[in-house]
Amino acid sequence: MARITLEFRVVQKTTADGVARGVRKAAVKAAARPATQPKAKSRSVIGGLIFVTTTIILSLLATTGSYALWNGKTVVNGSSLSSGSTALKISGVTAYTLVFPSTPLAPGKSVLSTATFQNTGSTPLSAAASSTSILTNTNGMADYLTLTVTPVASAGACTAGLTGGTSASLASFTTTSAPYAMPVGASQIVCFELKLSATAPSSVSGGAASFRMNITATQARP
Amino acid sequence: MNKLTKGAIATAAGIALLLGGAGTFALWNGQTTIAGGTISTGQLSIASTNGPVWKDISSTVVGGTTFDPSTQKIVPGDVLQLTQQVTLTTTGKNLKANFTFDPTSITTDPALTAALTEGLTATVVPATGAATLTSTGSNAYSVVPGTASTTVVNVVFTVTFAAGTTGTVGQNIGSALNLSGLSYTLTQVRP
Repeated sequence: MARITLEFRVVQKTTADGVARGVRKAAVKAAARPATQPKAKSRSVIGGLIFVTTTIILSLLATTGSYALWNGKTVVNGSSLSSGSTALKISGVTAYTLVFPSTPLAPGKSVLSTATFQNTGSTPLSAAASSTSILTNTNGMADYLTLTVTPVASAGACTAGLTGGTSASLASFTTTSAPYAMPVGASQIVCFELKLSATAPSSVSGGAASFRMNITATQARP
Repeated sequence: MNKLTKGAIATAAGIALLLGGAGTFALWNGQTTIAGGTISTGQLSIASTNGPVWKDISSTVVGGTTFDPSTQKIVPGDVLQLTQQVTLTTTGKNLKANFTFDPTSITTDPALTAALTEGLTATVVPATGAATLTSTGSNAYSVVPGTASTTVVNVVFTVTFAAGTTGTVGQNIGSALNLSGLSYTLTQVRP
């Protein structure tokens, strides 16, 4: 402030009145310049306030819910839980090809083959034949084939005429329930018997058929 | 500011100070001591006692009800219990607290968020003057201190794997549900 007064006096002494007014204005303007110092100060104060407020808000956000009143916490080491899996393989693969003897069928005769269902997951399984589709069918042979699927104790036990399994026309073969139950790691040998109907007409002779069967395994609660 | 103004302000301040202390610097005065005693603060804390114990409480089980998360895996239809004993220290006339678990302290694999559900139940181990726990809704309890300073509580954390899980959802996940940082919290509330 003292410095401003001094400047003003000097101007008055050295200039004419009219000019002095103009210069005085300039001096006043110049005098206003030191006023920028408090401005800068207030700017830094505002900046500081913004910083402090932001910091407080951020700290509050970071500890949401834990900044008021007393609170305590205890940590329990509950470990980590892992989920199990269901997995079915047929004789070691997921897409198995049943091999039937190449002996030609005759009316009333049947051919046999076995497959092993294996539970390779970590839950007990029950498996079912969910659908069967005819892939090739020459001379209408498939229409006269009956499939019988029976769980057996060993491959050697797979013989013609087994009962206790599921028997149906090949084209529409499904199992209504899930007859093949397997605990974890267990396997089940299944006997497939394909029989040509005794009443198959002669037009069927020389025919061939192939089919695909889907096996669905579902986790079984013990 | 001229010296006169400064002087005036200083004088006014002095007079104000003298007025504020009026009555203590002159003439008769007396004094008595009141046995006000000291005031103590209460306490609110929670600590785990003993280790956590896992149990398989599924409606149907293979091989008994013991469960070891390090070697055994969970499948749809499973219900598991993690029991942990905690000791609550609760003293204070108007102390009241909420007890619950911190959902952010556990991690569920994204594939299993819909299939796994967690629940918490807490029961006070009966003792003279034990605090009372009242369920205040989903997995939360209100704690009101009794005459005893500490209360032992059995906390059962239940994990359920929805039996309706279909297909191969959530299979073979090593860290399906990570409970190694499971936190039980006790937070003061005003009564």
